[in-house]
Amino acid sequence: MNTKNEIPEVDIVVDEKAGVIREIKPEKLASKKANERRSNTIIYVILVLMSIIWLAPFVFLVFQSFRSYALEGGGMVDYLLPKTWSLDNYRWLFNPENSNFLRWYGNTFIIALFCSVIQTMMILSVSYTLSRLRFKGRKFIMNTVLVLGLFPGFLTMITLYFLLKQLGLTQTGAIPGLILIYCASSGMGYYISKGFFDTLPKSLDESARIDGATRFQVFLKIIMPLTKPIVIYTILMAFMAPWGDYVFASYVAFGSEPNYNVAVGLYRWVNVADYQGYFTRFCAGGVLVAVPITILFMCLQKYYVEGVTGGAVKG
Amino acid sequence: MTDLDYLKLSKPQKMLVDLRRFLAALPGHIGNGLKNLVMFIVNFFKGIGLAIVDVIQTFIHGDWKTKVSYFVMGFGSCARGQWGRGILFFVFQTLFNFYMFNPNASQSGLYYLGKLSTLGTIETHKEGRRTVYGDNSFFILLYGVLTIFFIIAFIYTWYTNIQQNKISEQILKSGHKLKSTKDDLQSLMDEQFHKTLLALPVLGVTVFTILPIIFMILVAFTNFDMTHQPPGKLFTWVGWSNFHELLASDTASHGNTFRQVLLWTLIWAFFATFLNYFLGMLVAIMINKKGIKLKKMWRTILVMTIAIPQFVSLLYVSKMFAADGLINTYLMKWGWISAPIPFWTQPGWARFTIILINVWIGIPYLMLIATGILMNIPADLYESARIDGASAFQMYQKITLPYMLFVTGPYLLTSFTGNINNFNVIFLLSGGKPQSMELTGNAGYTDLLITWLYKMTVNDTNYKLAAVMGILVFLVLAIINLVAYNLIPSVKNEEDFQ
Amino acid sequence: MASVTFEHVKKVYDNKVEVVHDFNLEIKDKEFIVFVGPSGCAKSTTMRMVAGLEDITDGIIKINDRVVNDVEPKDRDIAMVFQNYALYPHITVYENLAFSLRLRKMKNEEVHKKVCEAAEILGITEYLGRKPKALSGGQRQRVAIGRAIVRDPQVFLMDEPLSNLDAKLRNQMRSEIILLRKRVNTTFIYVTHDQTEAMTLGDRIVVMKDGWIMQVGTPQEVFDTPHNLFVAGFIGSPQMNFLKAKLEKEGSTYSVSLLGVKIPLNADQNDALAKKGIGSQDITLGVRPEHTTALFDNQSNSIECTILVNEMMGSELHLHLKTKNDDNIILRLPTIDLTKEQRAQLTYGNKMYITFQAKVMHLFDPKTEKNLIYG
Repeated sequence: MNTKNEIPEVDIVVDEKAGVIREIKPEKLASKKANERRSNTIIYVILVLMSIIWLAPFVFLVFQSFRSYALEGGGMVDYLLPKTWSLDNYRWLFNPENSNFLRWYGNTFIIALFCSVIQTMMILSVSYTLSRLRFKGRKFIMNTVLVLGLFPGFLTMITLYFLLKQLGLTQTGAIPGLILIYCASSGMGYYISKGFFDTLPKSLDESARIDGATRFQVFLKIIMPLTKPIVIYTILMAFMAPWGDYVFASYVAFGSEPNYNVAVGLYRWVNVADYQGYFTRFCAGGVLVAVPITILFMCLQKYYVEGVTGGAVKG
Repeated sequence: MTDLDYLKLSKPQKMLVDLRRFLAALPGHIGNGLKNLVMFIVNFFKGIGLAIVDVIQTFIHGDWKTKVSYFVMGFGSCARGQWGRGILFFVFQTLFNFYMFNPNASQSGLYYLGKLSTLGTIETHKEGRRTVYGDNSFFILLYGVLTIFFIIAFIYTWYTNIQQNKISEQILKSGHKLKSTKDDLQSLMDEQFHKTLLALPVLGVTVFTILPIIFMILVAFTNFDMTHQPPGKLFTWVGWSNFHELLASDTASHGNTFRQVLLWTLIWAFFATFLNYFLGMLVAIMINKKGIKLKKMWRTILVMTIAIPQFVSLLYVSKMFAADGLINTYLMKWGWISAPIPFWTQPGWARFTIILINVWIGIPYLMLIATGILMNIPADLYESARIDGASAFQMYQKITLPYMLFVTGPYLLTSFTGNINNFNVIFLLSGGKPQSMELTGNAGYTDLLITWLYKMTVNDTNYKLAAVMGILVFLVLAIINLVAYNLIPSVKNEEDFQ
Repeated sequence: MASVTFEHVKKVYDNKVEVVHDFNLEIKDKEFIVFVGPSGCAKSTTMRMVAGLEDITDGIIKINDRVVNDVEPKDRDIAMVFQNYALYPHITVYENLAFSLRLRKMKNEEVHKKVCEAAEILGITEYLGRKPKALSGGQRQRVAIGRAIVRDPQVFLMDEPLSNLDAKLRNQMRSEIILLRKRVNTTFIYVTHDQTEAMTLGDRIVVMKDGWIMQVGTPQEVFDTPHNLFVAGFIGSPQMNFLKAKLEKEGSTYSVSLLGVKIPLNADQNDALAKKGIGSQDITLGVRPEHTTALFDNQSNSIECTILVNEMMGSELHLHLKTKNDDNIILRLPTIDLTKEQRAQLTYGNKMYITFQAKVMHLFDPKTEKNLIYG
C-alpha cells in the first residue's frame, strides 16, 4: 500500500513565534490521549476524596444518632461506629415527657410555613414593582435599601426585642413575634427575583396593557404564571431559613423553653446544657431536622440552582 | 496620548497609565460628588421653600372648602364628593391628634418629644417600700424618634391634602369631573398599583428596620449600658465619648482590640470570598470537564450540604475539631500526634480552621454559580482560541477567568459584604474564642466585628458600644462598596442588564 | 373610523434629551401610514406615544378628535403588534387571541367566533391548541397580528413587525399585510427601518431622522421629489448617486456642469428655479442608478468613469464606478442587453461612460441639503 497518500490523523497547532502551522506527529497524539487519561484519573481521585470529606460529617452524625444511649451514654466518644445500634435517642425525643423537642419542631414548622407564604408575597410585590413599574421614588427606594443593607443585622436586635415586647410578642408570644420580625423587612431581599423579572421582555406587559389589562391583571395573568421558578425559589428559601436561625430566636424566646425553635433548643443542649449527656440526642435531633429539609431541597434543587446563578450574575 | 499609543504599551505600562488616569480623575470624582451633595441640599431646601410659598398662595386663592381643609384635613375632598380620600385624610389627622395630645400625658407624643433632649430626668426611686418608676430613657428615645417620624408623615400628608384641594379646584374650574372613590380604588389596581404593592413592605421596613437603625445610631451617642439600664436607671446623651472609648488607644479604651478585630474581619472576608471563589470555580471546571462521568452525582453530593441547616452541620463539625473530638482522637489513636491539635484554643490554629471549614461550606455554593456561568460562555470563544493555538491553561486565563470575573463582579462585592457580616460561621464554630487578656471587651481572636457586637449586646449589655460598632461596620462597608462601585465595571452597570 | 392627529408633539427623556421635536401630522381615517427612518430616529417612540406606552412631554395627540394624552393604553381602543411579537408564552394560541376579548368580559361563544374568524384569515387554525414556543417565526408573527385583529381596533399599530423574519418570509408576510389591510380596513401606523416595506405598504410615508420629520408624502412623491439629501439617499435601492456639480445661470436658463460636461435643464426646472430666484452656485447633483445611462464609448456630453466593482445580481449588474472627482457612482445594467464582448469589458480598471437626462436630476444645496426645486 502506498503510505504517501494516506492522510495521518493529526491535530494542527499554530506555532505562535513562527506563525507557521505545524503538524503533530502521531506519537505525540498518542501521548496526548494518555495525558488526557491521566488528568481525568487525577480529577476522579480528587472528586472521590471531596465527596468523602463533604459527606463524612453527615454520615458520622447519623452513626452517632443511632448509638445506644443506655449502653454507651450520650456523650462524645472516640470511636465512629456505635457498638450497639439502637433507636434510644429517637425514642427519647419523641416522648414529650422527656423534652420539648416535638414542640420545638412544631414551632419551627409553623414559623417556616407562615414565612414562606408572607415573605414570598412581600418579595414578589417589591421585586415586581421595582422591575416592571416606573414611578417617582423608585430609584430612591432602591438606594435606600442598598444603604440599609450595609448596617449589620444584629445592630437592631435589641430595639426589635423591645418593640416586640411592647406588642407582647416575646417569650410566650415568641412564635408570632418571630414571624413578624422575619417577614416585616423581607421586602428588602428583592434582588434575585427582581433580576429574574428583569429578564422577561417588557413588551409582554405593554402588549397586555394595550389588550385591556390593568397593571394588576398584568401581574396576575401574565407575569405571575411566568415566574414559577423564582416563586418556588423564594418559597424554598423562606421555608428553610427559620430552621437555622438561632440568634434572634434565642433572644426573643429567652427563658420560655416551650417556645424555642429547634435551633435554639438543640444549640442549648450542646453548648449550654451538659453536652456530654446530650450529644447523641443532639445528633438525632439534627438528623430529624436535616432529613426532611434535605429531601425537599433535593426535589427543588433545579429552582435553587436557577435562582442562585441568576442572582449571582445579576447581583 | 492617543488610543493607538496606549494600545502599544505592555501590560505593566498600561496599568501605570490607568492608575495615573484614575488618580488624575479622582479630584474630579470627589468634586462631582460634593457638588451633587450640595446641589441635593440646595434643591431640597429650595423645594421646601417652594412648597411653603405654594401652601400660602393656595390658601389665599383657594375657595372656602380648601381653606377649611387647612384645619380639618379631608374636608375639601368630602365636600367635593370624594368621600374615600376625605375620610382617609380625616382619620389620619384624628389618629395623629390623638397620639400627639393623648390625655394620658405620659403616653402622648408631645411628652416624648419634650423629654427627648434629656432622655428623662426623674429617676426611679423608692418611697418607703414602694418603688416609684420615673422616666424610662429607652422609651423616651424610641417613641421620640417614632414621634418625629409621625410628624414628618403628618406634614407630608397635610401638604398632599392641600395639593389635592388645589388640583380638584382646577379640575372643576376647567369643567371636568373629579375622580370618584370607585375610580380611586380602581386606580390603585392600575396606575397606582405600585402604591398597593409597596404599602406593606415599606411600612414593615420603616418600622422594623429604619426606626431601629436610627434608634441605634442615636444610642451611640448616649451612655446606655449595663449600669444605665431602664427602667431602674436613666441614660442620657454623652456626645462622641463612646467613639473615643472604642477607638482610642489608652488603657480604658478598646482601640487596640478594635483594630485587631477589624484586621481579622477583613482578612477573614478576603479569604472567605476569594479562596472559596477560586476553589469553587476549580471544582466546577473539574466536574464540567469533557470526559468526566457522573457529573450530576458529584454535583448532587456537594449541593446536599447546602440543604442541611447550618446549626446542625457547623455545630457538629465544630465538635469534630474539639480537643476531645473525632479528629484529634483518631489522629492520636493512629499515633500521628501525641497531643491534641489546639484547633479552637490557639489563635492561629483557630483562624486557620475557621477559614478551612468555611471552604467546606462555600465550595458547593460557588461550584453551582460557576457551573451556571461556565455553561453560558459562548463555545465559539473557545473554538476560536483553539484555532489561534491556545493551550487549556491559556484559555482559562484569557477567556474563562475574565468572563467569570466580569459577570460575577457584583456578586463578589455582595459576597465580601456578606462575609464581613458572616455571623453564623464564626458564632457556631468558635463563638469568637479563644479569648485572652490582650484583647479587651471580651473579644476573642476569631471574633468578627459583628460577633463582637453580638457579645456586647447579649453578654455585656453594653448597648452604646454595640451601637458605635454597628456604625463603624456600616462605614467600613460603605467605603468598600463605594470604591468597588467606581472600579468594577459590571457593578457600575448593574442596572444595564435590563 | 379613526383619524390620528399630532400637534406639536415633543418627547424629552429624563428632562434632558429631546428625542422628538415638534411633531405635526394628520393621519386620515383608514389611512396606512408608515414611519420610516434609520435606527434612533425616534419612529418607535413616536408610535409608542400613540399607544400610550410613552408619556407625551409636550403637545397633543388626538385619536378621533379626542385628546388621549392622559388616557391609559387600554382605553384608547388600539391594537399593537410588537417587533418580538410579545406572545404570552404560558397560554395557547387560542387563549392568546382570546385574551383581550376575555378582559372585555365578552361571552364565550362570541369569543370563540372571533378567534376562529381571525385564525381563519391568517391560516393558523390548526395551531390554535399550541403554545407559542411550538410555533415557527412566521406563525408567531401571524398570531401576533391575529391578536390585534380580533379586537377590531380603531387604530392598528405595528412596530417593525417583520424585522425578526428571514428575507423570504419577510417578502411573503409583506404581501399578506397588504391583503390584511384590505380586509380589516382601519387606520394603520406602521414603523419600519426598511424603505422597501415603507414604499410597498404605505399610502403615505413619513421619513424621519433624529426626531425630525424629513418628508411626508405618498411613496411616489417621496421617490420622485425628495425634499432633501437625506430622503433622496434613504429612499431607493441602490442608493441615489451624488456628484459635486455647479448650477449655472445664463439669462433665464439654467444648466448643470460637472467634469467638463454641461447639461441644460428643462423648462419646468428652469421655471421653478427662476421663481425661487436662485443664481449660479455649487450643488450636489443626485441621480438614481436606474436613471443613469451607461455607455461603452465616449460620446458627447458623457462622463468618463473607471470601473471599481462589478456585482452580478442575476437579471442585472450593479456597477460601482468612480469619476475623476472621486465621486462614487452605482449604476444598473440589465444583463439581457449585453453582448459577450461587452460583459468581458466590465472589469476592474476599465473605462466606462455615463450620461443622464435633465428630468432625472435632483439638485441639492450642499449646505442646507435641501432640494433646490422642491425643498
